[in-house]
Amino acid sequence: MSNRCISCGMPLRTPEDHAAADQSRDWCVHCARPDGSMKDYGEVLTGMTQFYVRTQGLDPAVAEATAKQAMSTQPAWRGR
Amino acid sequence: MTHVARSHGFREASTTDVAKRAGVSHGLVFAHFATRDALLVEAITALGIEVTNAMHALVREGASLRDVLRAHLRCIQDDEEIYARLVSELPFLPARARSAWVGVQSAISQHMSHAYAAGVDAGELERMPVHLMFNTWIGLVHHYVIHRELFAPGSSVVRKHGPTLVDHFLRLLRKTGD
Repeated sequence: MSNRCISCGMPLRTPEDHAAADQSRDWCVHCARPDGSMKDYGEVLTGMTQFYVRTQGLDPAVAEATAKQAMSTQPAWRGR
Repeated sequence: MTHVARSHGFREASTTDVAKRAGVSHGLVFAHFATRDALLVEAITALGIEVTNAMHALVREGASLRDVLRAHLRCIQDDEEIYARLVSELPFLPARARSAWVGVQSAISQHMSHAYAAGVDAGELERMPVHLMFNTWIGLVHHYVIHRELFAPGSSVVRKHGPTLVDHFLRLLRKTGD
């Protein structure tokens, strides 16, 4: 079991941090759909982009490029 | 990498210096990291995880914004020298390294936003976009940390000025009424 989300890299500290509070899933609650399945690349990219804009006020294009860069280093999206 | 960056800076820290500091051959560094940039990104990511883990441990459910700000300062103070190096050099580091730090900052902003929202809902704090609240805090803290030799020569600027910065920032946010 990874202690970081394979999709966005968020630390998985508690059971509730995991998708559907299921510790066998190594992606986080933010990268999961309501049924616990992992969101697809586009959904995660949109979520991370919006997160950067909301929390730091980044320019949306910069936020998207930054999110792509960050995702490219994660196991779920490596090489994208 | 972090140990070497302490004396050389992140921009100047070479893989040769890192190997020497770790007591391994230069080639072994590249067995683990394909490029110097990859090593740099890993070092910054590790530093970020250290900071966010420390904040997570210090900030309890229902913590006030003052508690979160104090926790943030404590995390910076843990290694003020390396933090100052990083934030002052960040604009000149490769895009991948900058991206890694953006994620860290958003995690900190998220911590602050929960406590901030509670203060707004309680009618104590002015409502403003989360990013403006966060960037105001970061701008203030980073100015003092980067220029720490002007404000606290030879000592910790966070220890010396942290409580004043927290008080000042909260005063800026306090709801004053129409």
